Amino acid sequence: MVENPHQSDIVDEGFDELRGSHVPEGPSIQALEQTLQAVHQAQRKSNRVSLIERIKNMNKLIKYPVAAAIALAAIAGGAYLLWDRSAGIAFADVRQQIEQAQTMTMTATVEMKVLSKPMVMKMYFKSPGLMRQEITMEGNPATAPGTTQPTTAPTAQKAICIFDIANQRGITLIPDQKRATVMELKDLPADVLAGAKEQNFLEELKKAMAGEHEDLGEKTIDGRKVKGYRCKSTSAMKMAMDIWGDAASGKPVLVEQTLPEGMGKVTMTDFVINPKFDDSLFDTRPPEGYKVETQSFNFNVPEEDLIKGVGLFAKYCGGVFPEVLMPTPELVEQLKKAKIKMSKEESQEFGVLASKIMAFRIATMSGGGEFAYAGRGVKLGDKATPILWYKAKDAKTYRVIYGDLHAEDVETAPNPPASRPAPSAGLGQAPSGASTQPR
Amino acid sequence: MPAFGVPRKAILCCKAIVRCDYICEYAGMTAWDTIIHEHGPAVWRTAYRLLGNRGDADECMQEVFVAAVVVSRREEVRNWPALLQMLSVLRGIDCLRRRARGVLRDDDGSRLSQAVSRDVPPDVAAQNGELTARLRWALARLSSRDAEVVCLRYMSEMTYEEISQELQISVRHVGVILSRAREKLRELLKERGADHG
Repeated sequence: MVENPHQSDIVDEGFDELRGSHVPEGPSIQALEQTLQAVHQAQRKSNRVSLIERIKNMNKLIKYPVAAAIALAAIAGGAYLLWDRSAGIAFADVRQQIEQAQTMTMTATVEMKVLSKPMVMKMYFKSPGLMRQEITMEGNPATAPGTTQPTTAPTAQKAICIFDIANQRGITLIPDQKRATVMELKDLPADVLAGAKEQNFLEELKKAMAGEHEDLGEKTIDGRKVKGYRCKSTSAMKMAMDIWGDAASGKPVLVEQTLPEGMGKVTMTDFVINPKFDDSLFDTRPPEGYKVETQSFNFNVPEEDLIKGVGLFAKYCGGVFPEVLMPTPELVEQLKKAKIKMSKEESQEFGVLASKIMAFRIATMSGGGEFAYAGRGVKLGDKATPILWYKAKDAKTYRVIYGDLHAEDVETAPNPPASRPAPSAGLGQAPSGASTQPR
Repeated sequence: MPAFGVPRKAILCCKAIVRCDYICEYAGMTAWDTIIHEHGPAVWRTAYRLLGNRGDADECMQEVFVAAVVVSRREEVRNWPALLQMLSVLRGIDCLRRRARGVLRDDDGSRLSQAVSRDVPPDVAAQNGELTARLRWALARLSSRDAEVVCLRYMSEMTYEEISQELQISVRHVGVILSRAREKLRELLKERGADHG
């Protein structure tokens, strides 16, 4: 059916007039900004398509590391924050409660930049070194084309992560899909493993309570009077946390932790001290009938991978080393703006090497060594300027990597630059002391 | 507490890995600020033409890009201008229909006059306001699919094939809808003209 091109009537006249009608200058900058905000908000909601679904759809190379990473990060966000060994908890009643703990449950809500929505987890702990977390994610309903109108009810998905640190083993279960991912934690930093085997929970905790704290006063939470303390960690992570305990019993009520580098925060609530657990809760063997895959976390990263990864960061940042060696959302945006395109393989390689850089740093520092990055603004190919250096605990020399990616052994650590020009196109982010000062 | 030592160290690794996920997954994703600044003006102009005032055009533009987020999560977008043009018309029609149902605060008359007084020189408004206002009123009274197709054809000047692709209907069906919509519009425009005449 074709219209008659010569037919012109009131409908054509109307549309002619509509098309030719005066349109003022627009939209305003404010309207564009509001639109951008609405889009970001929609993205966050849209991302609720569910983390698990995202993981499910990922390439195998990154699927399970990501699942495991989220699990570990979440645990870190929960458990570690409360027991960070260098955090000073001079709150006797709370301390007493914690000192008595051999088992514990709590609810942790993790909000991180990399998570599209807050992740709420039920967490179980049992000394020594057993952890279980149960994550329930609410998926998005399907929507009609071109609209945001839901056409189906949201569905909830559950994931369970269990860690047995002493045995260097973990497992992630997705019951709905009957899938299990066994995690082998290879070459775990020695002090971590030793600590796990020594079962020195209380000693570690006592150390943690010996530090400084700031009194936050009193407030009421859900009708309960609580006392608060802000404890500043002196650990490498430099995190601070607010601990609120029941003013009468000392029972922990709320712990709020801000993650470093503006990554997000963790809120812990619903503490139960010394509940009785069935050991099966911490069984890291895959249940029968599950499809099992295995994923390793290897902390033993060779220097060449470190150098290659650092070089890739500079390459993708227009030939200038960025402020931090992390694929931050800001960096991703900059890559897009600079229209730097990566193939799937390149982006995967970049991702893998970025994680190896971090693993290298963790392994070095946790073994009592030093690691520093000060490459911000240095041009790739600059053979005179150190961008990164590290030293194992008992090593006599520092290993220094320069802007042209060659490495040398030197006796003293380079001086971090007082100031360097910001990377081009704003490829860095806020200065991070943790990444520029050797420890 | 030894067990917690692991996460403390592992969190750094986790951050990296999770961020790697971010890069891997989003490497090909849209830079929304760029898209909005590139295509926002065209979207806004389409919305303004359909709706006749800044406030509704602003709102419509937001809805268009939010809808685009949803679409882009579901499928790869190969032609942003075409998608946004279609969404502009769809959301604009939706807005017109809401007005007609009284969900929005006015009909074409009062709001149009406000908009015209703010944005358009009076003589221009006098020349082109009347039939346009009637057309908006009439479009709001078509079925949403008919209004969408007729606007994509006559306002956005898309071909039958383009409309067919965007709306995922057959070319023949596009023709059927257009024929039906024109007839209905003709009646409504005459009816409105008689009322105001």
